[in-house]
Parts: sequence; C-alpha cells; structure tokens
Amino acid sequence: MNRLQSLDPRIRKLMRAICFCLLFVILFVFLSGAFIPRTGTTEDGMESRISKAYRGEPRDSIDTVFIGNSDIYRAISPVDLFHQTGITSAIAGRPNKQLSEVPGDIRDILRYQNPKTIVLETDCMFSGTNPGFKKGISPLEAEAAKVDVAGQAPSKATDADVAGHAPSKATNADVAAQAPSKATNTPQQNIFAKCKALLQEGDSAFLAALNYKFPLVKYHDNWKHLKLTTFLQPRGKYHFSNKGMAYANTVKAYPFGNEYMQLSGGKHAMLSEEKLDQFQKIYDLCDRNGIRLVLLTVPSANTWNKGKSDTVKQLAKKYDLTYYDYNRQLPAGFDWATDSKDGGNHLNYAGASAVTKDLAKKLTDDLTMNPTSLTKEQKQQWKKDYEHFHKSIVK
Amino acid sequence: MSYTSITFICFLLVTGIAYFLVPRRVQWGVLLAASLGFYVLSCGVRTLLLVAACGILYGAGLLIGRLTDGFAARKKELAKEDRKALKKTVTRQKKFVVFCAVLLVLLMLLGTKYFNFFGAIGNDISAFFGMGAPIPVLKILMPLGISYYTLMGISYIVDVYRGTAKPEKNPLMLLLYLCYFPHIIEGPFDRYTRLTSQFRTPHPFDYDRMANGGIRLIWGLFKKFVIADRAGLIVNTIFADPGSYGGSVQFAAILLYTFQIYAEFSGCMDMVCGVSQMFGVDIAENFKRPFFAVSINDFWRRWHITLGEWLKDYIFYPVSLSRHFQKLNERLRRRIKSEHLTALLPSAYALFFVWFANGMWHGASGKYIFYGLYYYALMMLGQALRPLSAKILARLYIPRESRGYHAFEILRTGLIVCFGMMIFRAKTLQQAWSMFQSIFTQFEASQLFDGTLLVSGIHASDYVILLAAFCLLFVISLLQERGVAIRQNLARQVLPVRWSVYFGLLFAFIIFGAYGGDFTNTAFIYGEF
Repeated sequence: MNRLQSLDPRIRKLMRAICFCLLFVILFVFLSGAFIPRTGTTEDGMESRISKAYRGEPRDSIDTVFIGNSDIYRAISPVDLFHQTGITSAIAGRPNKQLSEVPGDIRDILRYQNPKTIVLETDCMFSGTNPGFKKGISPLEAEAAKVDVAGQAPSKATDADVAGHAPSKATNADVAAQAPSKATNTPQQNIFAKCKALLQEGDSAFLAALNYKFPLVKYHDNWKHLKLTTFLQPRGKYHFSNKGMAYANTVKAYPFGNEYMQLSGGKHAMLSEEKLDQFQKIYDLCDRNGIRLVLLTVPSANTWNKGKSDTVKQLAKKYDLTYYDYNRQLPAGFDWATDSKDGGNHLNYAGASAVTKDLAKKLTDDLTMNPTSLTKEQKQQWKKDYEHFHKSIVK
Repeated sequence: MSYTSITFICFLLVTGIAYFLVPRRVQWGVLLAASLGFYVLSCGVRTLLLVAACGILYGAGLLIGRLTDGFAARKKELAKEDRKALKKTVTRQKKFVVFCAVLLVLLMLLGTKYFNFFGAIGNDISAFFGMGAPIPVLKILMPLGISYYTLMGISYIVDVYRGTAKPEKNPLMLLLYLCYFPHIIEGPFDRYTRLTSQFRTPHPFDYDRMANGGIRLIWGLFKKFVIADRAGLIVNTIFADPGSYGGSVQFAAILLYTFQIYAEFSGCMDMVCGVSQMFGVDIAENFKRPFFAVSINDFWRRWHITLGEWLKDYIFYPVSLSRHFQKLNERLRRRIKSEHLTALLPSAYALFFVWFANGMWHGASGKYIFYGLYYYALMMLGQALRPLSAKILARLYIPRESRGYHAFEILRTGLIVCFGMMIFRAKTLQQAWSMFQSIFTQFEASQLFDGTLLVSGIHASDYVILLAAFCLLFVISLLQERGVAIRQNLARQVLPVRWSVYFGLLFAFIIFGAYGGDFTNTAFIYGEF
C-alpha cells in the first residue's frame, strides 16, 4: 500500500485508469454470458440462430457437430436425426461462416463435448466477406447474402448482383430492402457520401463482431427475463431445443432444376493457399482429437456448382475423407419446387427433412455410426426436445 | 456522425490522443481539424456554406476593426465637433457592415431552412390574387447546425461592433468557433470571447478533468438512451394517431414527451459539455433544472439558457434601446396614467419580437411561431394579472413565500410547459387542439391501467425503468437545486464508492438503454432545428 502511495501520482492515475478499463471488460464479458437467452425463442430475446447449442447439452453427450454457414442450420434437423437414429447432434452454424473460424469452433466444441464426427458444410470454404455484415443487417438477414468469392455464381441468379455475392434475384432484393441504400456506394455518390457510408459500415461491423463474441449489447434488453440463477451459471448453459437449427416453413421455388451445377463451365473452383492451410488445420485438429471429419454440401442452387464440387471432391480424396454432395444427387424426395425457402438459396423445413432423412441413413449405413449411450434423463430430454420442436412448428 | 455512434467514440479517441500529443500552442488546430472532419463527414459539400459564412463574418469583423482603429487614430487630432461628426459617420459605416454581414448569413439560413416556408406563404398570397403558385417547393438538405452557427456568427459580429469582442485576425480560429464539434449539432450558443480564449489556452492532460468529463458524458448517454429513447417509442406511437386513445393516454403521452425532450436535450448537453471538458474547454450550460421553475420567465431562464440569452442580447436589447422604442415609451408615459400599464406595454412590444424569433428559430412552420407566441401570451397575461393575483393572495392570506404556494407555482409552470410541448410535438396545430380538447372531454382514466399504454412492444417493466430513471433524475436535480455539486462530491468519495457509481451508470446505460432490437434509434430532436 505504501509502495503504491509512493508512486508518481501520474503513474498511479494511469494504473487506476487501466484497472477501471480492465474491470469494465471483465464485467462486460461476464454479463455477456449471463444475458444470452436460455432458449431459442424470440420471446426469450433470442434474435438469431447464431448458436452454440452444443454448450447447453450435457457434457460429452453429442455424437456429431455440424459446422457451416446458414446453409447448414437450414438443412439439418438434429432432433429429427436423433428421432431416426438415436445419434445426438448439434449445429454450430453462423451466417457467412468463414473457414478460418472453424478451428476456433472445434476448440470451443471440445471444451464442452467430445464428438465422434464433425461434419463440415463446404460452402464456407468459398466464403468471402459478406456485404450483409458490412451493411450492418442482422445475422439472420445476412444469411440471405451468402458470398461467392470464387465468382462462379449462376448467371441467372446474379444479373442484378453488384458486389460479387450470389443470392437469387429474390434474396438480392431482400438484402437491398434490408440494407439501406445509404450503405451501398454507387458511382454517383461523392467522396463525402462514400466516407460516410464507410464509417457507417465500420460502426456496424464493429458492433457485429462485438455482438458475436460478447453479445451484451445485442441481448441487453433481455434483462426482462433474467433470474438470479442466471448469474450463477453465466456461460453457455442455455438450452436450445432446436439444437442450432433454424426452422422455416416458407416456400419459394427454385425453377431451374439442377442446371446450376453446370454453371462453372467445367472449370474447377480455386481454393487459395490460405484456405488450404486453414483446411489443413481443421484436419489436424480433428485428427489429433480422434474425430472423424466428414465433408457435406447441402442443396444450394445459388452458390453451388460442379466446379466447386469437383474441387472439394479432390480435397476429400487427398485427405481420404468422406464427402457427400447433395447437389450432385438430391436427397430422396427432395424437390426444388417446394423445398427451398428463398428461391434456391436455403432450404425450408421440408428440404431439411429430406436431407436429414437421407443423411441419417448415410451416417448409420455408410459410416456405421453408433449413438452414444445416454442416461435415461438425457434420452428423455432429447425426446422432449423433439416433441417441443414439432409442437412449436405446428403452431 | 452521431454523438452516440461507435465511430464517434473512435473519433474522440483519435482526436484526444492527437490533442494531448501536439505542442500545446497548436492544440486548437487539432480541434479545428477534428471539427472540420466531423462537419465534412456529416454534410459533405454543404460545408462550403459554413466556410462562406465564416468568410463573410471574418471580413466584416476586420472591416469593423479597421474602422474602429481608424477612428481611434484620428480622433485625437480632431476638434470636438469634427470628432462627433466622424464618430457618427464611422458608426453608420460600422452599422452598414454589420447589417450586410448579418443579412448575408441570415440569407443563407433563410435559403436553406425557411425557403419552402416563405415560398408557401408567397404562393398563398399569389393564389389569393389569382396568380397561381410561382414559387417551387424545393428539396433542400439543411446543413448541419446552420441554425446554431448562424446565430453564433451574428453574436460575434455584433459583439465586435459593440466593442465587447475584438475582431478575429485568424480566420481559422473563427471557423473553429463556428464549427467546434461538441456544439455544432445542438448548441449551446457560446459567446466568441469566452470560447476562443479557452481555445487559445494550452491544456495539458488532466486525469481528473477527463474522469469528470467522462462521467458527465455517460450521464448524458443514460438520459438519452434509458429515458428519452424509451419514452420516445411510446410518444411516437400515441402522437402518430392520438384519436385512437382517450384523453388520459394523450395526456400521459404529453407528459412523457416533456420528459423525453428534457432528458434528450439536457442529455445531449451533458454529453457535449463532458466531451468538451475532456479537452479543457468549458462550454456554456444550457439547463438549470427547468422543472423547478416557478414561472414561465423562470422556466426560460433555466431551459435552453443560451438561446434565451442570445435573444435577450441580440433582439430584446436592440429593440428596447432603439430610438423608435424610446419614443413609443415616452408617448405611453404621457398618455397612460397607470404605472402598471406603462411598465407592461413597452416590454410587451419588445418581447413580442423575442418570442416570435424564438418560435421561428425552432422551425419553419406556423406551429412553431404559435409555440413561441403561446409562451409570450402567457407571460404577458401573467404580468398583466399580477396586481390582481397579489390582491387575491392577500385576501386568502396565502403568503407567496410559503412552501405550498411554491409547490403550486412549480406545478402550474410544469403544466403550462407540458401544453407548450404538446404544441411543439403535435403534427399540426389542429392536432394539438384536438388533443387538448380530448383531455377534458374524453379523459377515460381506465385506459391508463388496462394495457392501452403498452404500445409498440413496450412492457410494464419499461415503465418501471422509466419511473426509476425519473426518480434518479429528480433526486439529482433536487440535490443540485439545493447547491450540492454531485460530481465534485462523488470525486471526494473512496474509490469503491466512486467506481460503483461509475460502473452502475455505465452498465445501466448499456443494459437498460432503449437501442437495438425492437427499439429504433432516434436522432437528437434539437439537432433538426
């Protein structure tokens, strides 16, 4: 104490300021954990399906984790997979997921679970910066603006697209409606408007990044639902009965069948050295932890094509991995006329059911996966979650 | 760039670092660069209007200075008569320069803010004479803070004319005075000499000042986000269609709007004063607990203080001291015997211009002129009835100094202000009138408790937050009214107490703030004027 007082007052004040900032950060991080909604309902304050659902499950009770962008959390239904096979799974999906984020996701998963299989949805290998995020639209809205950095978007879908991302006409319009024009730079705009737009984008991007890691600002209004017990278990103990899946029942047909697969003109899509390094890291991480890595592409008419599929196929061959591309052969019963929510960009629940059913078969037959033995209570909880999910979608 | 954005916080950080790193004699240059950057980013090429106004005022200031110096140099050589004649000539010349400068900057304001308003009046007159509507309605984007920097510019040039300020030799300093980023959006109207003397003073880094400014900034954010924006959500919904609600709900919306605008405007002032304090520049205070006012006069001495002072110095005094006014005064004294009336009528004449200008400044609409004249009429009525009210109080044995009467005066003033705010917020005067009528004809008190007030996703818990915030605001205001310096007292407390308050306020703003999700972020109301 005396030592502290003998310090130069300026240094003492500096130390005090640093301590204040540190304490603020600690409190902010702590409260961020406490404010995350405990369930996935909007009533409880959950704004998006950005999910770390595996955190809410009993330790080491998850067999499979699906990682990817919005494609994956629209295409797999873990409770249905459990119902069909007994395999427990969760989705770690985020709109515009980047491949570089996946190793971090796996490390986080390993802190809570010990999955036998990780299924990596391959669309995130070709992801770039999502203009949706730049424009500061909410994550769920941003999923409509998946990015195709390989530049092989189907021409039918990208006529009106200016930023190199490849949503369908419909989703492009959605994004335009959701992201105000002030954020888009047209050639007519002067330098001031461009700077202003850049600042607004910076603001939104910062908030989006902050919200992803420490969502106190995002979920601040959740104070209405807080209980004292929330603060005793601040990290990740929320229960998400959908297990990370985002349900949609809207139908918007993709009218061009599977023509989209031919749009690459037979050329392979290139994966940069950086992406390949990132993939190597993912592979090593899984290998070190005894996890089987499976590659999966779910039906996606707006961002997928044969070129990309061939590239992933080669990658899978190189690493001796199993790869399922549902665009080459659509799952049994799948129909582009009824199974997409937004004109081919994402699947609705009908599409997700078809994919889940087919994948269930593949996991048990091809990969001979056996379910982890769960306790009676855990099984009961999964059954409850299945029923709760189906009840809520009937509503 | 909004004061409430992340970008602004980054902007503050960069400006702050540069400000305390550069040699102290050029610190004001950092403020100028930051203010210009802030302005340019906010309104682009319209910055040219600001620069033009600055150029006009700078040139006029120099010219007045030259005329004054010329007269001072020559007056010793001249005989008394010649000196008088020269003084008269120089004064006339200086007046002409001031007139031209004021006219030019006012034309800029009229051309942007009032063009369509006067255009509509012109069209009405023209239509009356059957000549159609020759003046087009233009979509004019108002440059940021033009109402503020125009009035500040006028105060500068008039002060130079009056000799209370020296003409600025450095145009950049004048530019900084006009566009200083903490006061460009919502004021306050600072005076030239007071502000520039602080710009010129070196300001070393001072931890205590930073902390003091920081806490005021957070208090401002609390008022804006926790109180104003939350109340705004309810107010906007009810004012959008007041006819759908009973008089009680409409009255609640009026009360909430009064609460909202006070929290927002004073919150913004707390933010800008806090920010400016961090740079060592103390800008003028704009609020002094207005809801403790005992009369309308008193209210306007506590609400938007710098506007009131500006109107007093640059409209009331010039009118009161004008030859025309003096003649009128003399004539009244000769003809009217009543002392009360001879005191009342001249002030009524001079104050009419003040309140008309007050209304006009707030916006280019008849509604705002009515708003100004509403206060004028009530103020005059109060003065006119003063002898009568004194008699009634004496008859009823009610001492003016009693606590009860004091509370009555506060309540009465508050109510008058609330109705003023109703005029201010209503879309049209008709809407204001129909709301006023509804309060007395369809009160329906039950609507206050049957969930009608839970509009736009507002929960009962939001009202609890509003009430708690209101209580906090009231207690702090009461303490300040009793002369307690809150921040200074807080600074004397031990560290755990101090930090608990700081963190409490900071996290209260983050957690209970009405932003994101269901809430819409609203711009500062006074920023639109």
